[in-house]
Amino acid sequence: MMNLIENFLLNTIRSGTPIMFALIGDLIGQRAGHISLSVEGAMLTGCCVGFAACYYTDNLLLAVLLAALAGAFVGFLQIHFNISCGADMFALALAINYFCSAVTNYFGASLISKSISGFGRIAIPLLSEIPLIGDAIFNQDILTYISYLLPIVVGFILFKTKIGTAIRTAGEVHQVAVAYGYNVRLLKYGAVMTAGILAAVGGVQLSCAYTMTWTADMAGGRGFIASALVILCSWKPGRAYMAAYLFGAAQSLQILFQLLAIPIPTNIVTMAPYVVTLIALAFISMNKNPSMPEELKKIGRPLEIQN
Amino acid sequence: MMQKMTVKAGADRPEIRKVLMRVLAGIFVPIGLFSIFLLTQRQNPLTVYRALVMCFAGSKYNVGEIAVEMTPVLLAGMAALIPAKVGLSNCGGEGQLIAGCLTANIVGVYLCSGLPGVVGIPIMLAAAAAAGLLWAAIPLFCKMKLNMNETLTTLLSNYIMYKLVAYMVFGPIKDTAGNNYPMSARIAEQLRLPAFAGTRANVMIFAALFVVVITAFVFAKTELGFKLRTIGGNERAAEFAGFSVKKARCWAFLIAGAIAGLGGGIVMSSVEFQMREATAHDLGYLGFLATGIAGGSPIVSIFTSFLLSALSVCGTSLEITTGLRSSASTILMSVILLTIFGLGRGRREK
Repeated sequence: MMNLIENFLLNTIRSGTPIMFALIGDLIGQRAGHISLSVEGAMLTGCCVGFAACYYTDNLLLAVLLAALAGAFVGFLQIHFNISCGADMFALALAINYFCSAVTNYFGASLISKSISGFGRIAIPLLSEIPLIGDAIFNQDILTYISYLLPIVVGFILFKTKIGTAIRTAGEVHQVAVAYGYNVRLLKYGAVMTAGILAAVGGVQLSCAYTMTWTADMAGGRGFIASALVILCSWKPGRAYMAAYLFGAAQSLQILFQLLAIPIPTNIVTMAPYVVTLIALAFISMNKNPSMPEELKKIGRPLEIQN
Repeated sequence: MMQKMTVKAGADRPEIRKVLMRVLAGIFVPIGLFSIFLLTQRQNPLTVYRALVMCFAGSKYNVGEIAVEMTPVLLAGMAALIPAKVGLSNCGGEGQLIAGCLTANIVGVYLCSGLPGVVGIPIMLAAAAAAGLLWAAIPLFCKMKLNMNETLTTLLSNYIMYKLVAYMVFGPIKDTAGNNYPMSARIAEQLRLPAFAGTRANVMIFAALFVVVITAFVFAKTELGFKLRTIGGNERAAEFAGFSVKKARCWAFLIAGAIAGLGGGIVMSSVEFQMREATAHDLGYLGFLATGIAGGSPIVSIFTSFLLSALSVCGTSLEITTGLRSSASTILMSVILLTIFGLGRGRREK
């Protein structure tokens, strides 16, 4: 029984981590007034680029850097075509995801069923000895440790620093940010490209630490879920722990049911993350979403930034 | 055929000319970008483009294949376009189409197997449309009653539909006579739509074109279309004018679901005949993207749907003629999409 719970917790954290990265990334973007559904594509690209780098060079830092670069490019496409070319935010995002899927399918074809050594697990002395939760929380790969700190760091940046205030103002009433002399365009580009970068790093964790394989379209809607979970967090980074691991737990049900030999078909159990996300969204929607950034309410109308 | 239709919908002709210009520019930029990609892959771009053109118009069979692909893409496109006109975004055409496909198979195999085609096929297609409508009703409920973002709910519901199909073909509807493969039984011979000689295409491509033309006509020429456009353009103005915004939105969304579902039913009864895990995947997204780059014009979406369907079909033949992996054509497709988004609205408004 102990083993079972340990295993469930471990999987909850491991499958929650990619979501955590994409979720925090998109949260920054949404705070700046822009929903990037392309985090799905950024994550997929991160999976592929990271895996390729791990496979060919075995250099983990390089894998993360290259993936981040690719993610930044995806974020750039998203924000540039939206702000400067006036493309519809959501339709554009789907086109970008299609592009990412096509490119990774093509270049990733030779990586299928290859194996890598990837990110190893690093046990933190003493803490990892704690019964039940120690092994799950404190015996993880480096990216997961980073993801633990991410909500705190981003929360600090968004709410306690000047640049954070500027980003949030750009997402609330961008005219005010303009009046204070900020370059709103630059802020929005930065925020959305950060979303792409973080989602791509989440992708590296997914393919190089969690599954250790590359399969086509392996992101499987995780980016969309992350984007939805931002609403569940009411745009507050601190709540990302709850949201990301809620998803992780839903994803881990499959393994739990297998171990307990509960006879529910796999394909029904793997619906859980999507269904849980929808139900959680339904509950949060019954509130009036007081903290929704103002500019998100205007989506669909052309955005005119004067500066 | 294209030109005739453009003339028919004369009311929005200047709009169409601009959009067509955009589409043309959207062809030449990607051709350049894709050529660079081809050169890096040690392919002669000219050979590849010739192979593509040969595929587009090379044989009766290929043209038929494009028509087969284009039918559900057109219908899924309308499923995205109609709600968009009233200010809702339906990214769930994919799931609604697959819901129709699955339902058509179940109805065909378990209910209509003894019926003659003239009775059975309409029942199958009607059931498919109903299934698409019902699957669209869930996100619609979430939008109207719970105020949830319909883009996210429709996207997530697509994945739930994928899993549902996987569950069905691995379990309840798995063909007991098959070799334990995860696929359903085939629908009976008389329930399959008869194909034109020498192709797999059938009369349904004209049905799909008819749906598109009707949509264009309703939006451009009728009072109903005017009301709907007002609702999409300025909700408050529409309310002041006494239009029932909620009701119109609900109907638009449900009809969209039914159209996508019908597309799935057609796929089942004309080419697939049986359900597998990945049957009809991506058709809904292609339709969504085809209208996404058509600038909200149903008539232009005929052209964009043709382009995307043709590239999708010719990817496979490209692999045979040039040895380039078929996913290369998806790259070309997505580069075209991104270019057109990049050319975008911004320029037009200035």
